[in-house]
Amino acid sequence: MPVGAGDTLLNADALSDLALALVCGAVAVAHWRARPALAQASALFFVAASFGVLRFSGIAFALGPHRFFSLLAACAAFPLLAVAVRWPDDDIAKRANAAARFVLLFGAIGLAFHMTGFALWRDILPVVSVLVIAFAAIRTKNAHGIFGALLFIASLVVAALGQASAFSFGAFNATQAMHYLMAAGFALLAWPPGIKHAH
Amino acid sequence: MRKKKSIVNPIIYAIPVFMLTVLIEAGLARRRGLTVYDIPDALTSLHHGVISEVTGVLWKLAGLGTYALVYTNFHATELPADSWLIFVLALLAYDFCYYWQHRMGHEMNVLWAAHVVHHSSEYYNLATALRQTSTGRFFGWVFYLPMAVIGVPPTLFFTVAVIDLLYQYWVHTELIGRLGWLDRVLVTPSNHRVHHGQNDYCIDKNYGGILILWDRWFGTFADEREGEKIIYGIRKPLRSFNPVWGNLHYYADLWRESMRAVGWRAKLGVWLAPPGGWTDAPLAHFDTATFVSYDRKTPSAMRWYAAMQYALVVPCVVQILAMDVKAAPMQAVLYVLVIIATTVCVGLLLEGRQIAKKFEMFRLLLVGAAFATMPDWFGFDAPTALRIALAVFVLASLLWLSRQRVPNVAEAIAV
Repeated sequence: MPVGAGDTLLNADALSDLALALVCGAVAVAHWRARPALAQASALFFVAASFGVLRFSGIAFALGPHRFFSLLAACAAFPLLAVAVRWPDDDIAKRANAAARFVLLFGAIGLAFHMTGFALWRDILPVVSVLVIAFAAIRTKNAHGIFGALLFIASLVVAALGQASAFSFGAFNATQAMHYLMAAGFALLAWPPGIKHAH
Repeated sequence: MRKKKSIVNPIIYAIPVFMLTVLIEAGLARRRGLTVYDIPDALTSLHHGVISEVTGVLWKLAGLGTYALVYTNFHATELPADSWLIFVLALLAYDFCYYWQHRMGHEMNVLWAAHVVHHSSEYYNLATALRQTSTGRFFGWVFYLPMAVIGVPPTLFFTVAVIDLLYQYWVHTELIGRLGWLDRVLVTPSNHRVHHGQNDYCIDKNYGGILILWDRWFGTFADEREGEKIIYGIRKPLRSFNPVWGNLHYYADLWRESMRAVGWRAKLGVWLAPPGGWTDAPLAHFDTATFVSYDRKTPSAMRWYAAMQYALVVPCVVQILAMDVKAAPMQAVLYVLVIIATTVCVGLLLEGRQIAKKFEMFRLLLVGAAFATMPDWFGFDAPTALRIALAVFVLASLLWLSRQRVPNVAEAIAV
């Protein structure tokens, strides 16, 4: 039976988001200087997941920010992650300033699409981004990268199934499974030496 | 059912103050013997202001009030709009967000393409403050979304936004010198002059809206230098009085550049890069001694003609800002186009373009006939006396214009 989520402090949903937040926070700190695009993408996920921890712990004010930053993560952080992995020598991947601008532009476009009713955009971008990551990992025959990409794909599949029905993945519900799979994906993707040089 | 009360655009009330203060500043400058104003340049600034405001109407029509949408969907809490403390904090938050919007407006090509309009004047006066972009709304809103997510209600947001905007009006003047300690805390005429300068030490400095403290904290502050005359404007001068081109010229540059770039990442990179591209090389030196300002030697009579046409545009702008545009969207769009066409025709006349005279005469005929004969002028039922007065004005303008020989571009430069 899945571990149920409730309004109690640090329930199973909150714990899963905490795991994602911790992994993303660690990746952001570890790569802040050397791989700014990867770090900024992770930082965005860290912020979204941190609000998620509060939200799932029953703190009402965190609901809006959690949804907002999750949307930003879907529309801007995933594509940035893809650029960081697939084109590590690009200005966007190498320069913190350029990565931030990328987030700004893709975040704005994503929000605009979402607000004008084209909600599918937030589903399309992560899928395309993860496929790009997988392609880059396969090309470079990087085991960590390939497993990381597969875990990301699994997390998106779980998220989609979770939206459609009351899906459970062993002991976890869809939300928890998605968070754990993403956390594992991030950890593998950013694991040294990672797949910094895709070419 | 209660009828929803529409919010009146506060700019309507500010317009007479703007006009009056511009005239006072021009008069004071003249008395002091300072060349602060150039009529074609000032009119171009005012035309940019007009277009910026009336295109805002189209934005409203498109229903893209993004801040309100984000607030509705994602706010953390509902902060009270009637608390003084929240008001002050919201103003501070807005000013902080404005600093970053403004800074990125200078440091990112796609945002600079919008903001460059405000810097394209080679004069620094109150009219320059009104030289505003019409395309800034595409991305400018992004920077204020943290306020929406925190829970600053849209009404409070728009209040502090107007305060921040209006504050920045008075700092666009050369007539006020240094203000002591205020120059170190607030955005003042002295430190904002630096922001508008092309001199080497002025580039990418002093972005603040109300507080200059943000610049001091984030390392972008520069104090005005005694004895070094500031040259205003942009390094690649606009050299046009056409306000539509003024809004689009840098987009055109970026478009050409991105077409030349090879590969989609390079093409995208053009829009994200800083003006001048990703480079660690120092900025090219600007020689203030060799600077020549843009002057088409527009004949004096033509300058006054253009000023009179502008005077007629102002009530139209007030009318369109006060209109319930959602009740008659097509009318609003048509009215916006009429106003934009007017500013373009007058701008081209000031430039001395041969085609301008034909365009302007055609516009006069069309607008004059429409005003005199239509049952109402975009919802305004004009009294007969006003219709006759305008018809006489249009006929006089046509007659005067037909007798004018508009010097062509080469002649205008050669004079």
